[in-house]
Amino acid sequence: MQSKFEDFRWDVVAGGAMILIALLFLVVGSQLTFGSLTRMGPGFLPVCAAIGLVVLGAVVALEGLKGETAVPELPKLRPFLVVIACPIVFSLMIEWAGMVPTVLVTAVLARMAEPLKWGWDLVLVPIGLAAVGVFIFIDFLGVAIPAF
Amino acid sequence: MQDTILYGFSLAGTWQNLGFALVGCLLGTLIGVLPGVGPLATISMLLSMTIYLDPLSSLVMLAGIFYGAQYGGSTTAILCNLPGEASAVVTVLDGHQMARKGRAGAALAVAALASLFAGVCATIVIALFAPVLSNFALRFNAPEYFALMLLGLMAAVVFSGAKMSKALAMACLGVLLGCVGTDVETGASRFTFGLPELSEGIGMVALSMGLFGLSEIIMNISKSDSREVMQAKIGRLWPSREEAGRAAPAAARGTLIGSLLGVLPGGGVVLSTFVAYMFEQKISKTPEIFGKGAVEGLAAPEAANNAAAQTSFIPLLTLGIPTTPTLALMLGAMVMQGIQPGPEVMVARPDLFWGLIASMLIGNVMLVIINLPLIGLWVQLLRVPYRILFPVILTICCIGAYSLEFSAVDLMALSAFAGAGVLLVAFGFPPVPLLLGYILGPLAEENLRRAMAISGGDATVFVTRPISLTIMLLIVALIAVVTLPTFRRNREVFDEQ
Repeated sequence: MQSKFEDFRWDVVAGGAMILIALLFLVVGSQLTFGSLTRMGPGFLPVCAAIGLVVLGAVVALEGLKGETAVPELPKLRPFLVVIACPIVFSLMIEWAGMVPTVLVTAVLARMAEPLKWGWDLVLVPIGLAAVGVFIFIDFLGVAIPAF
Repeated sequence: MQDTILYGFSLAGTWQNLGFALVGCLLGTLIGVLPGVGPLATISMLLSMTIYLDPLSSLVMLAGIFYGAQYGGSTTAILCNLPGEASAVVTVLDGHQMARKGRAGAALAVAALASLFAGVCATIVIALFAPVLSNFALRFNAPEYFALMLLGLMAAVVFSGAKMSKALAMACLGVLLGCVGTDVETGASRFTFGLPELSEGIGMVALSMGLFGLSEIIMNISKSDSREVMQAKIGRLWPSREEAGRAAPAAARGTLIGSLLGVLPGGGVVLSTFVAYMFEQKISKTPEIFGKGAVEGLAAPEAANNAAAQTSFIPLLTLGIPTTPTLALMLGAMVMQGIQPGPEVMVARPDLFWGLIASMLIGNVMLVIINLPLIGLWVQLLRVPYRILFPVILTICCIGAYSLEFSAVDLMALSAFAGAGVLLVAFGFPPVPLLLGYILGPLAEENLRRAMAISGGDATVFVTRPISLTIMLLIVALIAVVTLPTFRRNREVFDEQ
């Protein structure tokens, strides 16, 4: 299994992904006015850059076919998912729950990036952060988010 | 009175602004000192804090954050043998060796004082030369600006240290991401998919915080088993008379080298640290002690690093071209404040220009004043476990990013860029050209349009005007140099060192 992972031609996939992203931009961008060199429309630069990205994606994929394979340095899944989830959870809660509950939940969630072990920090860090949110952001900096 | 540094001090030197400089320095050091969080990540995470302030105060605070982040990075480099960015690699060589010999306090003090000296000298260089260069730059027109932006982008590609094809792909992707939003010229919506939140484009804070800040946090937690905690004593803070005597001239030489090389696009800052170190080793009577805790080997690159970081502001202030990723963020922050750096700023807004220069000096001095007594505190911070540090950073990042526009889309983008940042690096795609493409793309498009409109659609305009031709030739030379086989071999040797 390990050797399969190491031998896999990741750059071919990466180049393919680049081409897909570029095609998305190309398809949407081609609906914009392209214009001419003298009067460039809003579609001129995006279409040119997207074509460039298609070509470069193909080059990356072709280069990945030959030579040694590079092993990607992937992160651990747990911190990856937790860190990515934090802003999403924050954005889903903040509008109806207000600063304090949102911060408490986000801080506890962020703590789960590493294996949970009981410690006073588990309670004190979220409370401290809620205080920072209320006193520094709302009171001092004047950010217009309700506390609750 | 309107065009001197004194004018700047009269504006930036208010108690309120000094307070912002202090807060900026403290926050910058606080985050910058965390292992694995380099200056770029630090600034990207703290940017949102400065947006609430008026333009001058925000520049002052940004300058504080900038220096704090740099200095915090050096502290971690010296104490933990962890360079936060390429320009700190050389600092580690002798700095960490000094720390291991129980001279950590002296190493940190030498680094701080060498940086202060270099920062002050280089700021004077800016004050003297930026107005001259600005006058020259007033002759630049759209073709020259477009060529310069292309140069900045290509330099980021070439010096990214990744495969050319991957780095170029990132630059293209960055340009595409920069296109998202309302087209300034025609008012057409591009790639907004009907979302009103995207009509102003993808937020720079979300992009940079995700790509550089949060993704570094993910990688740090992933690698946290191998974290080396500094147990050694800090020792006496002041360098001995003999050390100071050796460090001072080395810092002066480093300052000179850094000031000169810092103006170069792309790799100027990093290059200056290597050149300064090798120069010291070459002229030293005892080259064998380098790498074993030579104080010259610490003072010279630290001074060069700081001087170069400082003079790299010259192209930003006079031409509006960021030559390093950190400066690209500074440019973005200025644009958010409604300041478009360029030769006009000095004429139209002398208060901002001289205020910034004065705040650089204030930031440098402030940094040393607060950091020398606080070194013990920063060291304690290095011992705080990740399980406390990272929830704090992560939550504050979320509040900061959200409070800019109160937009949930910004936070979704933050998440997406954090994930993308980790995956891109894992597969060998450098994120820095993406950032530069994203920031320079819209500016380059505007100038390309103007250039084409002036020339009536004649693309040869870029090679028929002397200044623009020179810049284009520089770009060609840059690409040729890295793709030619002889240089590639040299660079591999250089990278290994």
